[in-house]
Amino acid sequence: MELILLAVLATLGFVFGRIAERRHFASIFAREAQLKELLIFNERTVPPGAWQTGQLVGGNVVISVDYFKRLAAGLRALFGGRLTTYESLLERGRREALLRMKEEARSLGAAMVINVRLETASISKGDGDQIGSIEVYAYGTALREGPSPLAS
Amino acid sequence: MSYENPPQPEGINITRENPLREFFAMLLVVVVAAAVVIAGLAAAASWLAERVPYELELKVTEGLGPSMLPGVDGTATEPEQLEREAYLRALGGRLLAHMDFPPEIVPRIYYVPGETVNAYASLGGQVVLFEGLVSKLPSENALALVLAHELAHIKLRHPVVAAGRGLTVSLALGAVFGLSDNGTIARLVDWVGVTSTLSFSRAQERAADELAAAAVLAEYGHLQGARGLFDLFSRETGGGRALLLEFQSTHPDIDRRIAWLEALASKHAPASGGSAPITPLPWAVQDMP
Repeated sequence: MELILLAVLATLGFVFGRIAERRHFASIFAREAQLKELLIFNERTVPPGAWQTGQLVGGNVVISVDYFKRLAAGLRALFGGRLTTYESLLERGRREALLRMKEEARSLGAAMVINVRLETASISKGDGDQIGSIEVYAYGTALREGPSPLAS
Repeated sequence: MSYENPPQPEGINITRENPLREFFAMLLVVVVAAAVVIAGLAAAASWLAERVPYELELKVTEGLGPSMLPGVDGTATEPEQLEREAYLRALGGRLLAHMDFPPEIVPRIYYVPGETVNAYASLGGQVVLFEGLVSKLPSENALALVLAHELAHIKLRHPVVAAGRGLTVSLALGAVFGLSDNGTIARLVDWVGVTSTLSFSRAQERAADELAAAAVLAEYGHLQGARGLFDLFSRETGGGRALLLEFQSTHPDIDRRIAWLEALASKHAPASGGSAPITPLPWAVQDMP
């Protein structure tokens, strides 16, 4: 009985997790193409140019681990090696967070974001320290070639 | 120096390989490894359990009456039930005489009222015969075979082996998967209360069959009528298959065993070619319509 429940949950997790992941990657690819003119770097110094304002921008995303990924990771914990199911999850998280940061930068009219940093956290640790979901936060300094909207 | 963000090449941080493949490969290794470990533990536990002194087995199961056994709601109380129980015990005594029991093992035979069509042997030398089975058997010879079979389990210490094996496997699984979440503690408690049905292996059933057939042969001089036990189950009409299923839950591989018993019965058939005398059950006359 428990095994059947486990199999059903894992199947649901796999099917829906896979659909969600595929859609998310499609969305990421499309939005990255849209925002490709907005440049991002992790350079700490301001590059030469007629920059008027620098402003903190950030993008944040939380993605839940599906049941299948958790199960596969549990099995992987016995053998060691690459956690491929979590790798794709974190890849989605990082790129989504960067995209959200870029969207904020674009809404400010910025041309570039420098000193980009990424923070990752696991939240809602459940039974046996299993990770329930991941948070990725991307932030940086948006540079704009005009007067600051804050300066009057 | 110029700054640019060329498109990132895909497939560096993520694997294109289907995660299911990796998952099932790992699952297969885990399942096979677990099966090997469990089989090893079960074999070791069986080997050790056989060496548990019978006195110890009695001590552990002391105070556990037949009412603690699975499927048993109450023991014989009506005069007619007590009479049948006394008859079963007498029959058991006659069979025991042919079975070469060690002196310290004294089986306790119980007749249990109820519809259940079954019989089994449990810890502490307890043998349970349900009314549902006993009242359906056509002759004393068939009943003797059932009784001798369960007594053989007692003599061969099968209940303690099965219990030791079950307990070890439960503990091992509990150690790996945690005692709290999958009811392992409940199962352990079950075992202490001897309320779980003990399952015997095919080899154990076969050994008990051989011992039982020898005892019945020694008592009656033939095995005719003993196979009436299996006729009961091969009769398709009137839910015969359903009866078979219930009996099979504790007595596996029944078709092969019928064939084996028939071969043995014809080998020991009376030389005269006539049918050997089949002993009727004492209550058979009253039950006739």
